[in-house]
Amino acid sequence: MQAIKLRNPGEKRYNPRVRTLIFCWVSLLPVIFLFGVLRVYPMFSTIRLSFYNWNLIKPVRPFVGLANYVGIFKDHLFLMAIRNTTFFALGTVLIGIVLSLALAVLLNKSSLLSSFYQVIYFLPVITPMVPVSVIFKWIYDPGYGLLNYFLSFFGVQPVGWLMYPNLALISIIVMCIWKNLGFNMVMLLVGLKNISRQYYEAAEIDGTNKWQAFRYITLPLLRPILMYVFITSTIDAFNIFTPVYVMTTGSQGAPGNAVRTLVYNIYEDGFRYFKMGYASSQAVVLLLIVLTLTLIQLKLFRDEDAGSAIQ
Amino acid sequence: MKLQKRICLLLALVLVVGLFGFKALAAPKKIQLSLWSGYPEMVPFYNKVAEDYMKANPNVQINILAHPLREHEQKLSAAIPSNTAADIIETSPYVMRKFIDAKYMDPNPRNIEQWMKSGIYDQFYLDEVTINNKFYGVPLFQGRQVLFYNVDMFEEAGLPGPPTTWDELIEYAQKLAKYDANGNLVRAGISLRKSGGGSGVCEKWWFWLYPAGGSIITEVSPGKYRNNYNNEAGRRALQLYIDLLYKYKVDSHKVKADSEGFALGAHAMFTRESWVVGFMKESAPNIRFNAAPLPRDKRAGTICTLVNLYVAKNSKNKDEAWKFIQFMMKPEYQQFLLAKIGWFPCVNADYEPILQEIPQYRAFMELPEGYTLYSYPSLACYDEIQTKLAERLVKAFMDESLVDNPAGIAKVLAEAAAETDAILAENGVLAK
Repeated sequence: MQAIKLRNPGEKRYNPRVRTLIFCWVSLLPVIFLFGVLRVYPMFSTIRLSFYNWNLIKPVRPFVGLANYVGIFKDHLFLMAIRNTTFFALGTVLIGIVLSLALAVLLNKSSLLSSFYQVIYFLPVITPMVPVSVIFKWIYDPGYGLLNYFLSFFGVQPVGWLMYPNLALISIIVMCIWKNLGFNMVMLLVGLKNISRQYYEAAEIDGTNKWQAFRYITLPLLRPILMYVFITSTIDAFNIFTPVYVMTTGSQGAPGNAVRTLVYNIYEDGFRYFKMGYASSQAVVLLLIVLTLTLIQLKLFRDEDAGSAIQ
Repeated sequence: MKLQKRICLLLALVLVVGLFGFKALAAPKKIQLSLWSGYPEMVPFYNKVAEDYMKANPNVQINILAHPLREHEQKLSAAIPSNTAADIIETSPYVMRKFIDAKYMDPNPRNIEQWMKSGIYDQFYLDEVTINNKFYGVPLFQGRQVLFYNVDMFEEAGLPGPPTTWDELIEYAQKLAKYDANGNLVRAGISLRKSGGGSGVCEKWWFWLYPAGGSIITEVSPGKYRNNYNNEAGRRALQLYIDLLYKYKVDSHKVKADSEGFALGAHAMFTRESWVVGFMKESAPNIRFNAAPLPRDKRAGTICTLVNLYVAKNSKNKDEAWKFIQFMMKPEYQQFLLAKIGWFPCVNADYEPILQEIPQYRAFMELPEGYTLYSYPSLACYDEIQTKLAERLVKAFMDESLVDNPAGIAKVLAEAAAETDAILAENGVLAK
C-alpha cells in the first residue's frame, strides 16, 4: 500500500520569495531586538533624561524642560570641555591623517621591509588604551620619564609634560596620534594599492612630476577612503575618554581641567556627581556636534566628488 | 506523531524537575550573605573572618566582592536605589548619607545600638554614625593623616625630629631640600599634593587649612553649610603651598611625589594614611622612616575618615548579617586588621603588641594633647565641592605670580568659594 500525503485544507502555501523574506526577518529579529535594546532605546532614553532633573539617588526627578541645556551653556567646565575636545580633535585628526597618508605613501611598496614597518606601525593599534596610557604616563614623568631622559642629551631641562596645562593636552594628542597612526595608515594603504598603475604610467608619459601625480591622481582616487578615515577619526576624537581618565589619576596625574574633554565631563557629572539628567543633556550636545560634523564632511567630500567628475 | 511529541515533552519535564529536585535534595539550603567592599586590600581580612564564621555556622555561606573605591561607589549608586545591593555594604558615612536621606537605608536595630554603646567604641565614633538620634552603620576602620618623614635624611640634615609647627616645617624643608649644579630641585624637602584629577588635591590641602583655622565647609546651622576657606585661614593655607613651591623652592612639580617619590628617596616628608607603612615595607625596605602628627599652626588636628559596615534594607538575612558584623568586631580580628592590612580599627582593643612591632603606627593611635579629630561632612554634594575646588587649587599651585601676592590669593579663593556656595545652594543646604 502506498501512503498518500494529503495537504491539510487550512495549510497555506507561501511562494519562495515570501518564505525567504520571512526567514530573513526571523533571522534578523534577535539582532534587531538587541540593537534596539542596547543602542536605540538608550539613545532615546538619554534624550528623554536630558529634560529632567534626574539624580541617580534622588527618588524625585522633576521635569525641567530645557533648563539642563541652558545650564550647560553657562557651565565653564562644559565650555572648557568643548574647547579642549575641539582642539584635541583638530590635532589628532588633521596631524594624524597627514602623517598616516605620508607613511602609507612611503610604505606603498611590495618589499619585506615595507611589510615589517607596516606591522611595527600597526602594533600600537592592537594594544589596549589603558596600558598605553599608563606607559605614556611614565614616559612623560618629569623625573624618571624616558622622554626627559632622551631630551637631556640635548641639554633640555626636565619638562613636566603632564603637569603644565598648556602641555598636558598636547602630550595626550601626541600619544593618541601614535596609537591610531597604524590603523589609518593601513586603511589608506589599501586605498593606494587599489589605484591602478596605468594612471601613473599615463601621467608619466604626459610628463607629470611626482607631486602632480600625487595631487591629481592619488588624492582624488583616495577620496572615499579618506572620507571614511576622516569621519571615523573625528567620531573617535570627540569620544576621547580613556587616556584622559588614566592620565589624570594619581598624585602626578595631569590637571583635570587642562585635559577636560566632553566625555570626561559627562562621566564626571553623571557617574561622580550622579546628575544623570544634566550629563544626558551634554551627551545630546555631543551627539549633535558629531552628527553635524559627519554630515558636513560627507557633504564636502561628495561636493568634491561631483566637482572632480565634472573636471 | 503527536504522541511522540508528548512523550518527549514529558521526558524533558521529568529530567528538569529531577535535576532541580536532586540539587535541592543534595544541598541543604544555606543562608547566603554577600559583602561588598571598596577596598580590595581588605579582602584577606574579610576572608579570614568569613572562614571562621562559616566554620562556626555551617549553614551560612558568605561571599565577598571588592572593587576599587570609585567603581564601588558607582555600583552602590545604582544598586541601593534598585534594591539589588549586597546584604552588607562597606562604605564611608559621607557616601551613605545620601541613601539614608532618601530613605534607602534603615537605622541599626535596637540590640545593635545597645551593643555599640556597651563601651567597644569611643564617643567620637558613635557621634559619627548618629543621624537624627539614630545609629546608621557600624564603624570598622578609619583613615587618619600623618606626616611621614625619612629618618636618614633628617639625621643627615642634623634635625632633631619631625616638625611640630608650620615654622619648623618651612625651616626643616629648606634644610632637607637638595639642588643640582643648575639650581634644579632634585630632592624635595616636602612633597605636597599639587596635581591630578579628582578630589585628592583638595583633601590634602584641607589638612593644612584646618590647622590654620579653616575648613572646606562648615555647618553654620543644623543641615546648613557655608564655605569656610574664603578667609584668613584659607589665604594662609594657600600661601603656605605657594611659598613652599616658589619662594623657598622646597617642592616642585617635577620631583616625583607621594608614596612613590618617598620610596624612591625623592623627598623627605609627605602626608598620607597608614597604608604607606605596608607599602614602604614592600617597596623600599631599606628606607628608614617614621610618622608624626601633622604640624600645628593656630590649632592642631587630623582628619579621621570612617569606613562603616551597613546592612542593606533589601537584605533577606538581616539578623545573620548583623551577627556576622558583630563577629567581625572581635578583638582578635581587629588586631589582625591592623597588623596585616594596615588600616586602623575603630573598636577598642589591645593594640600595644602591634604598636611595639610597627612603631610608625603610634602617630596614628596616640594623639598629642589638644589635637582634634575632624571628619568628612555627611553631604551628598561634598565630593563635587572638593573635586571642583581641587581643579582651582591645581591651577593656583601652577601660578608663580601668587608669591607675595595677597590680592591674587584672595581672588582665587573668592572665586572658588562662590562656586562652593553655589553647589551648596543647588543642593538646598546653603546657610543664609
